[in-house]
Amino acid sequence: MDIGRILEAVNEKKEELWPEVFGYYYAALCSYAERLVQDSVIAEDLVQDILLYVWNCKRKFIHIDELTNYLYRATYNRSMMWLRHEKCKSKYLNRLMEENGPEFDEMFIETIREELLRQLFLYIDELPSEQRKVIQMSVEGLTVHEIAEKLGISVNTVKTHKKRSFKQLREKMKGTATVFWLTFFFS
Amino acid sequence: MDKSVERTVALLRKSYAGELTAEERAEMERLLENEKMRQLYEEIGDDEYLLGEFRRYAGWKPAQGYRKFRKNMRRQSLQRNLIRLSVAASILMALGCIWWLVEPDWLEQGGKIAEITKEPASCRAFLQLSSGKRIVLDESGPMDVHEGDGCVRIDSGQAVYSVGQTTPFKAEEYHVLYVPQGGEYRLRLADGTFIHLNAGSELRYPVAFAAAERKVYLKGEAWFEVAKDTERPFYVETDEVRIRVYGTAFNINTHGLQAVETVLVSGEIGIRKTEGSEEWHMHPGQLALYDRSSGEISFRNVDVQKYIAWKDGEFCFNDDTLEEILEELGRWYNVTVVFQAAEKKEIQFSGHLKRYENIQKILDAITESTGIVFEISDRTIVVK
Repeated sequence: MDIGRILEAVNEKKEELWPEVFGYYYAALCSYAERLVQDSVIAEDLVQDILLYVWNCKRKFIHIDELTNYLYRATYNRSMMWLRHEKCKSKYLNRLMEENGPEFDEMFIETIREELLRQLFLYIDELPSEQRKVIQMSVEGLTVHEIAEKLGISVNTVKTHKKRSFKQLREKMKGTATVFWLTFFFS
Repeated sequence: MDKSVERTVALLRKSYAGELTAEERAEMERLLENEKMRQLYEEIGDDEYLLGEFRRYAGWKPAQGYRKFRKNMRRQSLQRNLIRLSVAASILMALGCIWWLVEPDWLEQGGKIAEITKEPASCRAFLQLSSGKRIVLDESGPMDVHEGDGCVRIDSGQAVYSVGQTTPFKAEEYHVLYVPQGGEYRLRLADGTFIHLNAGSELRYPVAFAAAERKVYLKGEAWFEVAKDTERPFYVETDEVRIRVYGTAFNINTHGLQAVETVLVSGEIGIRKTEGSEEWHMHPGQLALYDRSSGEISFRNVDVQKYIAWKDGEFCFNDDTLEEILEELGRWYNVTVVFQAAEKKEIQFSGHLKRYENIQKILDAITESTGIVFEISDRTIVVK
């Protein structure tokens, strides 16, 4: 997937490119919102609202980082607003409300967490084919033995693939690939 | 701590890859001094943690999300088309209003007014003293309430505070003025500042102000005429924004669905987000919009009359949506609004209406010019 196409989808309102925007951000934003509101359905609704808002707004994003930051920020704000509105007794909110100082740091660290996870998750698709299958099956919940059987490889190979894949995901440097591809779960 | 997300993420990834320069290593060490950051670094380094998070991610399918998005988009463009249709309706509406203002007796001849029950707001409010005691404020005759250093005189829809000259200032005691749906109330604080609270609003303020600053807390909508005092700045705090006043007249409205609106009529004020530190200066005629979804503040030059007409007993609508209009009417007349057809919410209207009229008159005028039917039962308006 081309970063330029993400920006084009948002800035030029190209509807046909929006599936890529979803592939790029959707899961991460939902996950980020869920950590705040503690409800995956609400989280999804909030993210839908935000993306619709972005679709309608006239703002142009020059750099992909600007868009990424904006989306996390909007998700954070929407989620906090929802919490306030619900007068939810969520521990997280109480903590945020009580201490005025560290709340920004905490939000910042949570954003870092989500952004790291988002990038790592996207890179799964760039792994060599067999490694990628091992990771995808692990995510689906298959055991090492089941994966070994399905792929017709040894249990030890599966374990090695897994270990090596996670290491590669972590070590893959952003910027080494400006173009990368994503599988869509079109079903 | 470095506050750039992309730089910090890049630094962490370099660290996992073992490609840090000496300088970056020092930066990394500083970063990891934070316990939460250290925890994050360890978690991302743990395969099982990543697997668990990837499973969560896999639960949100982008393709399904996109389908939902398309559905929402279509619903919205349908509403857009309805709005285009409603431009014609809104011109009719404006004409209708003019006709109706010129012919004030027009409705009295109809049969409908007999069953009119929704009277507009009057000067009703509750005052909560620092002891926690609540007093009902209505239009009844003058009454004095003494508490602490201050004295409140309540008379004809207005509360006036004065500070005893002889008693030295003690700890701040707070009063809270609640104005329910369907009410409004005027208030003069101990420093001479005049505040007019609109329906469905709440103001918390000290009986007498401290020596260093004057601070009040607002929920809802209020008009402020702040008494000048260069020694003691005046602050208005809301959940969303914080206003610093340098002697001035302005209106704040936190009722908005999309945004918190602050309009400056004269003087000068500074505005900042409640959670931020940057302050922007506003000039007369400017509107500051705090966008609830993005958390950003933007500024526009506006005709301030639309925003402050309420304090002079008028509604002033200018291309507002039916949802916004009925929400405001609902607050003023203390009625609940139910939309049977959601797309009607987006229809826009313009017009000037008298605030102290009966709500039936206002709704009839809307029906007359647009054909939208309202059903009123008890304290609920249903939009058909």
